[in-house]
Amino acid sequence: MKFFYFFSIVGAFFAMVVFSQTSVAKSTRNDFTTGTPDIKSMGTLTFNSDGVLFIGDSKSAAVFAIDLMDQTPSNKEDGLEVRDIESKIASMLGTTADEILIHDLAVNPISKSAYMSVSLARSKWESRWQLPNELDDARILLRVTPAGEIQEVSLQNVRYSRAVLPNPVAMDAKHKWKKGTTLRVDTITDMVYADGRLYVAGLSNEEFASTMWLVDFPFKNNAIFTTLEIYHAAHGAYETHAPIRTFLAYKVNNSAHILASYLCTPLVSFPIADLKNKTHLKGKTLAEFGSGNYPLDMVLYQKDGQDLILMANSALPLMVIDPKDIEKQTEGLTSEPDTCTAGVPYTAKSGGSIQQLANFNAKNILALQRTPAGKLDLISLPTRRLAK
Amino acid sequence: MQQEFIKILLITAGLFVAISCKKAGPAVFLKSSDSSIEVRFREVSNFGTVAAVGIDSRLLNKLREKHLSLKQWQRVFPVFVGGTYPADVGEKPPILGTYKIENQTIFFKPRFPFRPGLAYYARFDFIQLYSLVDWINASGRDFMESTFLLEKPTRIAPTTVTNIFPSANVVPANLLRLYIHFSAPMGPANPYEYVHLLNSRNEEVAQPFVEVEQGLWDRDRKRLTLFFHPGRLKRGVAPNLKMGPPLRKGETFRLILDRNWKDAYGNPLEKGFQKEFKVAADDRTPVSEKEWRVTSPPAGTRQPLILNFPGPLDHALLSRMILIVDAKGNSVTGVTEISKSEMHWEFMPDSLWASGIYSVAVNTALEDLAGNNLNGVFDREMKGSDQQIATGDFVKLQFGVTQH
Repeated sequence: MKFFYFFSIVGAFFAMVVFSQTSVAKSTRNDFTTGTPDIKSMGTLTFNSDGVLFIGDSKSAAVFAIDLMDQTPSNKEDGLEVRDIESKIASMLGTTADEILIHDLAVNPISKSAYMSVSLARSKWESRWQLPNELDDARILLRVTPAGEIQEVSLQNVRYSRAVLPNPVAMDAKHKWKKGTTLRVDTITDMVYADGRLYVAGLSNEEFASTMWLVDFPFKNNAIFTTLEIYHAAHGAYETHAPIRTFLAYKVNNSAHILASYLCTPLVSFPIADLKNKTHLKGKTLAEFGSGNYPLDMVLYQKDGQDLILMANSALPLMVIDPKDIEKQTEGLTSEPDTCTAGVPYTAKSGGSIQQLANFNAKNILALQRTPAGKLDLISLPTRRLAK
Repeated sequence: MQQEFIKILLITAGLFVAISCKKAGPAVFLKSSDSSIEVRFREVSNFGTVAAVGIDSRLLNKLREKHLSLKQWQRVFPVFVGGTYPADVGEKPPILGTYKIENQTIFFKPRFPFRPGLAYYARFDFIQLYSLVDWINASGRDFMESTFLLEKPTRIAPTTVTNIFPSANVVPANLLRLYIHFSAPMGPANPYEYVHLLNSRNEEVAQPFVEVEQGLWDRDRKRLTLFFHPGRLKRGVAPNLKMGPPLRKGETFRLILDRNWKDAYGNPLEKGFQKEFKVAADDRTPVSEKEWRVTSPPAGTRQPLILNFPGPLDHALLSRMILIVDAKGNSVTGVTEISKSEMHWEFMPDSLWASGIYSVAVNTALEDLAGNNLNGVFDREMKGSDQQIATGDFVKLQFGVTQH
């Protein structure tokens, strides 16, 4: 989940923003209809600052905006923790923890409830390269309240609206090296809401499949898209087929950019102004962080008034990246480096096996962490311990 | 006291009922606090339901008025995974589900089906119940409890696909439904992962069927109904114009069922299954009973009454939408048989035919393969002036039974 601001927001200013947005909240939901959205897979979740939940549905190739009626502000300042959360969820769903698979995590910035999309598919696991959405469609939506209670969230008769993504990857397109995986589950790999717009990364049916869709909110059914190309320095090759795995929108040198991370871990930037409909855009490779690794999640946070980026990985440590180092990377990587890392440096932080990140409050980032003994904990990472 | 008869029942899916017929106990009760706890099995749904029966009707009325929240219900009548009351309910919350009061019974239906081989625990808490309505606990006990385990069904024989309807090898391009029949109950997996429709170029047709959570199964999970996406069949609506119909005239399609589709025993099918069919033109004409051929049986026999149709009709509807009625209007009981690609329907009465006038009462909602019925075609309202179209819920075809 990536909910973020272009500018740092602290303390009282934050509260002001929240309250002034209650009227905004109503107006952006005026065109919502009441009913039960036909969502086939809740692969990705994110919120905007008004507490609207966005669900990315790869199977339907559509994004849904849901009014959860979860607008009671929380001023919780400490963190949230639920140990062995899979067992707890399993108890509620009448099964065992080895079935429970959490697909995404996102926090409602107003109520501070943590939303999770879930399936009963973990026991289908076959390979270390499989991602949750490849095992099954997430069809269960749960939330952890700030008090730590887990509840199921019904999507029956809710207020919602829907936007369809043009040209998604075909239903039956097969993954090249993951046997039995269809590319359709990667129609939407990650979403970010920024400045009245939902940015949706994933795969289209275009020749260059890696794609970013821009969807205005409130939805008007006028989504535009740009196909993306990167120079994967570590592979010494230009690549257009692998989708973005996780990204942020961030102002680099005062200009809005997408900062995106890919499998085998290049970090790439794209100027948002260049994301024009039906065009093809080459990104600037800022860093290579190492191979054999899925970047799993990125969040932007503030420490001592400074913006920092936290990135969780499947096989590399938890990383802190300083946007100032990104600004220094003016040329980008253009040739194959001799070392396995290159470009923008990172600071390794303790916090391995973290699978999901989500901004929680000014002092904490929520994370799902697999413990050495195999349990999954919902934990809070205090930002004060996440210095560069 | 009424409360003396309070029982916790376990009502479970047809699949376990079916297995109970094979002498394997469908549920094992590991422990109960009270000999008056009783177990029964009934076909209610594919889920399994825990029910508390025999509760004082005044108490039930009071509870109905209260409209308890899920949280309140979970205090009165929680069900847990694990076979015992948890040491810490905070760490091990009760199973999500829905509660309802019906027929003097409180039912709990879990959010997902109870899993065979896993032990569960149900508690009915009188203290919580009475304190909720502010009455003194007159039950004489604190709670009732029951631990139950759905026995993992033992495998009898590998499950096979027994039939696919329509059984004809030629279907209209606007075919509405497919039925897949299995020899044994199937498991809870998402069925759409295991069903593939390939066109003549061997390409898989994307999303040909309406996908319903967990699939459209009959009660004992032995028949799956696949609905072709109606939006793609109806002329002029967006999906039809955009994606076109899933089946195209003149092409040959193959329906493929994967072998690794697991049955309720957790075992894959004996083998994968394929059915090939040719696609003819759309069928956009209503069903007309006037085109049916009726063959009357002789009196004093149990020979079948035979109906022959000019084209195939929907198998499932055909099995229940035609009745035989005698001159007094009583329905005649008997056995029906459908054959010859659903173009032939036979009825053999339980008793000998008596001489007289009978009629075949046909529900006008009876459909052909494309969803056209006796009232009209699938995607159009028929005009009242059209003489061909039956009105009313039933049409009757008379036939006489005489001595030969």
